[in-house]
Amino acid sequence: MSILETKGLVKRFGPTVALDGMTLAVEPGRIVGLLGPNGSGKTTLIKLANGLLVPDAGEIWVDGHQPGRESHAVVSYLPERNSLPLWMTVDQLQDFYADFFADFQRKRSEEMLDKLEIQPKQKLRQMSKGTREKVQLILTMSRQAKLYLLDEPIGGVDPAARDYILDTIIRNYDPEAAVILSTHLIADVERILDEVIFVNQGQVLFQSTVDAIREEKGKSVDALFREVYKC
Amino acid sequence: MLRKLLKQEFRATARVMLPLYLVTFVLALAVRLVLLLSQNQVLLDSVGGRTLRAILLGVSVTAFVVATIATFLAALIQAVLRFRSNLLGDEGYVMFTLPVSTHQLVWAKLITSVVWFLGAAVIDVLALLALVVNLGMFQEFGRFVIEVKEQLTAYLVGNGIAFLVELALLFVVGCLVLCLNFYAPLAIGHSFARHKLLWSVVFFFAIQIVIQIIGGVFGLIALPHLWSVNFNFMTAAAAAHAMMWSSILVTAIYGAILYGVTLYMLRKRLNLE
Repeated sequence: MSILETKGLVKRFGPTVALDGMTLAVEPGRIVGLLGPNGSGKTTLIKLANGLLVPDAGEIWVDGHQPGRESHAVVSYLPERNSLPLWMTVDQLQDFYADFFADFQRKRSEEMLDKLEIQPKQKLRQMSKGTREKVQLILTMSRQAKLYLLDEPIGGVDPAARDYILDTIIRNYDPEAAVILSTHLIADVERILDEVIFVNQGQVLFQSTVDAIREEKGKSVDALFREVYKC
Repeated sequence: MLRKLLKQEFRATARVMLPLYLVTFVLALAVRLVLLLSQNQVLLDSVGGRTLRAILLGVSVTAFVVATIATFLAALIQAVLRFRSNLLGDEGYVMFTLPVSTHQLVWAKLITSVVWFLGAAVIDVLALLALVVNLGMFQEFGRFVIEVKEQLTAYLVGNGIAFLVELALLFVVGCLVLCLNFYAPLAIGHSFARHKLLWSVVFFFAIQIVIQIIGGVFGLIALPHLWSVNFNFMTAAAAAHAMMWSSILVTAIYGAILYGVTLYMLRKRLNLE
């Protein structure tokens, strides 16, 4: 069974069509890059999968459920912006995650925080933007979820932090789970991807494994992306 | 899960409310101290006389009155701000992806707010008592209790308790509706792509105007009928209870409509940007 499946998914914002009949399926055990230029519908799809938006037409299933309480229990979501309360300390945030998510691995979280020398008693407000993003990523990746939805996880951080984030994803990724990460920074993420979904104007252009792209087209994903989305 | 949400809500709001309660109580004690000092002529003369007394008393009483009002105002502001920032702001990305229902998210906010309103009422009463209470008052109160006890009949006890319960219920329902009066327009306003706060204000006033119109129309239709009814069959107590229960019912119906609107907007029209 697909961990994420959509059929003819449509989402409009007033006159703007964000998703225009998007159909795709993602199987467990894959790290999938959801690739496309800004405004192609990546974030809208991730929001729909998280139940943060309601589709205008079409269907979406996450682990066999429509987005809601059941799917939230198996999806670990990293939004594109910091959404953790700034008044909370890292320890309080870990309590919060442990309270609500049965799959939260506190030990794993503490080890990662320790490695980055992030103080558990420190409030998020006292941290730099980059450190906040790392905390949020650590909490997200410390869950033993079936599906990780990471929206622009490397968008706003420096190259050194990017490597750390991608290593964190690989290190904590359960082979039974699927990771979908949206980005337009292809070159940085290419090395960790098993599969890519190219989207544009709310539709899937194509879905393929990274190996197939290299073998059949003789190009890297980054080169193919530049070719497909050439302005 | 509601219990866990409540834990989180209290953790977030107690940071503001508990210090405010403490300040209110301390100010009551400060006013009391100033009053005591001002009764001691020798002491009064040694620290500057009547002018200083007037200034100290004026400042402390004003601060105390402001603090007692602020406890209620802070409970309301807290209720509104938490709803907006925690559900409709960036934190909404986390809150709406927890394995909880939208009902639970809204009720966690409502219950917490009602508790802080009740807390404000309790702390203000306690602060007032701290300000005025003395040994003589305790003795007087003891005598009053004995006197009341002698004159109490089952009829008075029954109706008195029932009336207090009705009053408490009306207070709780009133607090819930007060919060929902803000939640519904905020949820509608934040479904727009732009000018979310402006739309929230517009819908706040729009809802108030609609309610006034409905209330007015209802009054025009129902009042002539009510005047023609002969209420002589009711005792005064029964009439009071009827009035209380109808107030609770009307407030609860209004609240249920606002709750329905809030829930619908959060479930179907959530637009976190």
